Amino acid sequence: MWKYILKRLGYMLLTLLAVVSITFLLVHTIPGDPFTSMVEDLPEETRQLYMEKYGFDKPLIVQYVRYITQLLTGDLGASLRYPGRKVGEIVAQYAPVSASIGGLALFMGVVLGLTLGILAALKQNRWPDRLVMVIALLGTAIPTFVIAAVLQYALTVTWPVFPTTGYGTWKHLVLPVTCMCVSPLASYARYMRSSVLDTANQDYILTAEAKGVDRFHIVTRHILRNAILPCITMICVSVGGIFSGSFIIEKIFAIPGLGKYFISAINDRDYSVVLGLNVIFTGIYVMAMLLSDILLMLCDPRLRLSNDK
Amino acid sequence: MENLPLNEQDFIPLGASASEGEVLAGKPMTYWQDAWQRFRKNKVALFAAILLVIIALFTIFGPAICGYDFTAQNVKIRNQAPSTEHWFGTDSLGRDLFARVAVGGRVSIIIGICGALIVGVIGCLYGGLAAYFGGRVDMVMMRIVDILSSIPNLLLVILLSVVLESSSIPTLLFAMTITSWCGVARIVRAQMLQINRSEYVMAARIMGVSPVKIVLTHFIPNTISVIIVNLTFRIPGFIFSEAFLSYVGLGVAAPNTSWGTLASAAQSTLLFYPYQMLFPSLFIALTTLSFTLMGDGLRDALDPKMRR
Amino acid sequence: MKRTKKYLSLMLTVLMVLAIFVGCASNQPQDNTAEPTAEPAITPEATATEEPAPQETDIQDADADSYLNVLLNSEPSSLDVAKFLDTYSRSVMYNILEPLTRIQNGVVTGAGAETWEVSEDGLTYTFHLRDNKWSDGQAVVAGDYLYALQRQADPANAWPLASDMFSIVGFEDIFGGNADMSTLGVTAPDDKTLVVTLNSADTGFLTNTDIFPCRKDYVEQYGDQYGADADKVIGCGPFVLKEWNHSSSLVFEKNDQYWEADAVKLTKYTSHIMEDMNAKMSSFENGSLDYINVSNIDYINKFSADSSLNSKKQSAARTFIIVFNCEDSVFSNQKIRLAFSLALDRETMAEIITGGTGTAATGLVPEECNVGSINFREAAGDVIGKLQNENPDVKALLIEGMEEAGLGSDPSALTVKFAWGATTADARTYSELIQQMWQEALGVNVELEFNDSSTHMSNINSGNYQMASTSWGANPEPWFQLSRWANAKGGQSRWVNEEYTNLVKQGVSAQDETERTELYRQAEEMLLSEAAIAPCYWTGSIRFSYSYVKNFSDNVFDTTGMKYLYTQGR
Repeated sequence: MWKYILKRLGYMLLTLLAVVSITFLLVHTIPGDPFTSMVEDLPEETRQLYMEKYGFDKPLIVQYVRYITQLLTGDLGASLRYPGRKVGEIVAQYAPVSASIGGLALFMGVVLGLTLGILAALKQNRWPDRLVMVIALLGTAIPTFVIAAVLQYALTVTWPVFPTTGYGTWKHLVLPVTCMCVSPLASYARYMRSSVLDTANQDYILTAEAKGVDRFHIVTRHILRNAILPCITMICVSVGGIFSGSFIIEKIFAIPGLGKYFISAINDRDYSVVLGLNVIFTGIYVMAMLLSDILLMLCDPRLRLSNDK
Repeated sequence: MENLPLNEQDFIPLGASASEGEVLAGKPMTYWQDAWQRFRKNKVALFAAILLVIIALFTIFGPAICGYDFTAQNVKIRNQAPSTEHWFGTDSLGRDLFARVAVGGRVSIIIGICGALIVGVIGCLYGGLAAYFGGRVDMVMMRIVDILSSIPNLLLVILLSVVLESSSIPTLLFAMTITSWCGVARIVRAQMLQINRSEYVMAARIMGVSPVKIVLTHFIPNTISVIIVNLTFRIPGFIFSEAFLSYVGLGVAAPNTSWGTLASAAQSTLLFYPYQMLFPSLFIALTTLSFTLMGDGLRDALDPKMRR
Repeated sequence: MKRTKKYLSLMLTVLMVLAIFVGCASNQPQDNTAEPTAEPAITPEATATEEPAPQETDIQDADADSYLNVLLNSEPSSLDVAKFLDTYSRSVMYNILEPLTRIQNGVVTGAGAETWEVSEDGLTYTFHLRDNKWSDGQAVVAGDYLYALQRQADPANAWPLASDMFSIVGFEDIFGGNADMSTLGVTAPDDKTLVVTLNSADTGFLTNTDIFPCRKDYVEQYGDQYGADADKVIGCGPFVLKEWNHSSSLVFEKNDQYWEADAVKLTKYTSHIMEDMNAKMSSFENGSLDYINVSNIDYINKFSADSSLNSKKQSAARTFIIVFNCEDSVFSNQKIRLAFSLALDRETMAEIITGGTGTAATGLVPEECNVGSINFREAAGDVIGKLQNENPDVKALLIEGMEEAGLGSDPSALTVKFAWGATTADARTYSELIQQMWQEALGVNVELEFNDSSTHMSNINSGNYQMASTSWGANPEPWFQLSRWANAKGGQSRWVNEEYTNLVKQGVSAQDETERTELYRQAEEMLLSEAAIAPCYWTGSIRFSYSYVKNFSDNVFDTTGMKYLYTQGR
């Protein structure tokens, strides 16, 4: 097991390197540069000076080697668009905001989604099942921006219960978290329902039923434990994404989070911020994937054997 | 126990010979025939299929029914609510929304289905093979998935818009599916890892069945429910993301339109003209619904565990 | 699911994209919901019926604790005078620093400088400074202004807006790394005097340039981080920056050390950073913001119905332009360009795209621009209308041009591309409107091309386009806009015309107002009849405010910031 984790950590460094390299190539290949997008009709001389100052006039490979060297010393670089701000500081400042909202939303989405999914499966083809499926369908088919715009208007203008925008108190969290949990809620409900139904038809459940094990025990001990397995991967993927935030939600509720920051950094061609933030995102994501594989192994006795080779 | 009135005649064979017995048992059915039969019997799935056909017919004949050209602008009748003149109302340039929703569906349905199918096929094969081989192959294949899903999508799409220089449907599909199969591959693999250890797969391996065939005949049918749920969820995602792609020059070329584009155009004035959002969204929801229901039917039909 | 959300998020890159860039091509009408008094290019216009009420400076009736909540469209880049690059930073700097001069009621007024003299040849400006203090009590001296200019010229800082200062002697060479700092044509003979020497007479110098002061000890203390946080910057303006919650809000308090502190009635104000239109409007509607500029017709109708709100139509002094690439095989022909320009129905564009808040353009330079005391638009007249009268049949004009260019005589065989850099759903709608106009009037095929705005800007600047949308803000003097096509590469249109360049050059150095107006008029007429560009409309908005907000600066070019605003009876 430990050997496996070490090996995965080794691969993680390779993954990071590959992602950094590909992203580096991408940001420098797409048209536009940080200076063209900063100032209208920037004089060519000013642009040249700028390129020289940041070393963007050098061949890409030189810049690449320089960037990797800098990265190895733990320096993620500084913003070009917002002078004087280091990527590390930006992460420290914006990531907790995204993570608090994303984490809460995911938690609510998972808990409610799984509960509804189990409920729907146990009452298959009866009204609770139908209701849950309608909720899930609406949750996927109605875009988040519609839910957010409607909730924002209803609960901050028509009935001014919550603040319209901003971040700070628990009241600021209610609307964004609600909007953000709809989509995970819908998908977890669907997954869990079909997963429970799947498991309920397995031979060992029938065996248990035949042996006269009571229904409660069958559900909790056998069905749920097995049904939750496919959801673990998905939950881990979602956990890996909570720091990167949600662009729409952060924009609509004017939340100072990383999701909005990252997209605007790409639009601004703020090279080092794009690269630096992506390194962080990738690191978290890859760790989450590792966690998911370890959890799968811990939960499923069959897998423990298969990965020993 | 009481004495049962047993009659000797009851135990005389009815006359069918052993060969006749074979005939009565019916034809032996393959997995796929069986699946098709079960799918056909599923009324809900049938209803969903009919719904989808109706939507498809609407997208083909809709513009002709309402008699408006979907590009014809009339600035005098901007943002009109649904009426007998314009059944779905008009948009911000006074174009008939019924015609636009109908035309928009053509691209959106194709993109939704093809996107989900492409992602599904690639994801299943990739995830399945990774799970089948396990060990180092699995490790490397999954790290490639990690890498692909960690590349910022916006960057990739901007680059593609520059490289591809066209906005045909295949281009669109390429841009949308280039990394999104990774999620399917990951889920499929996690599921299949479990099946990989089962006796029938082991038996198949020993018998020398090829990996692709094992993936297709054992892995996929046994994980079909999760795959189908995942894919039906992706359909609205693809339909909406097409609208985003049009911002970076990859979407449906104007003046042609799509449901995603219509919905995003309605977004800024959502609070004033909700019907402009309602109709395209409704059709996206109906399409998703029909695919979800069909997906459930398909799942019931294809999943060997549901066969009993 | 994550993916769906990601796509949706990206899809909404929408409104913000352009708002972030300085003046960079704002193709986006709803961007006009800008903080009105704070941006040089965005402030009120006097409507025909009402005279602009000049800002009062002597106020008795203000609330004891006047405070305001205002909108800022995007996070400011930096508050370092040698690093900042967007209007959002500039708008903050007007409030925390004291530039040498401010524009008030459309006129250049003394601020940091009490008085100044311009030499006869128009080359030397001698500023006499006021007694003003930094917020820590230290006196503001001429050396602070000199130091700021030196930092701006220093190539090590690579200030993106440096070209604004190129009219100062030596600035361009120093910035290019070809001359020593000592050659800069700025001196501070004593603590109260600053002398600036120009390369050539520049009548627009004080209207186009802001000279801010900067504290050396602070810059040395914080180095690269100077101006990046509230505690890493020091000011000497009407307000002090107390908090800067990045991407969220900025809190300002009155600066008691300020020389005109008596005139500042506002004790506190908060700028809230918001990008989503519905969020801004909802915030105003429920009172979280005290005033807002609206250019969306539905919200205008909604707020107009509320009689408790004050409203005022304002111009943004910004021209929406379609640029033609004069190096392109099709658009190198003047007649083709002119035909495309005249085929546009500008009234409809103004009505639909700006929600009626903008005005159909009759020329490039907006109605608010003056040459000294002469209103330029009145003097120059309706250039577009004149061209339309001269060329009533645009299709015939196009065919003529096509034949000249060897493109045959069938417009339906001609396919051209029109590029948009606004990644919004509205941009798509509006471009479809324009596409239809051309296709109907000219019978050509127009393809639309959308790009994210950085790609779009890069394509325009490198000449990789046929027709493209962009917009240019104006300064009080017409020179600012006209000069964009008078550079060596012929502006974004790549229209190099020596005669035009000379007209603009002569114009800016002509001291006589009438002569200057005439030169600018000729230049504008040439630019439009040669059709290097097709100005479409001037953007605008309507400012809605709660009745307790008083004393807005109602001239579009004013740079007085929040200084004179106050509340009464809140």
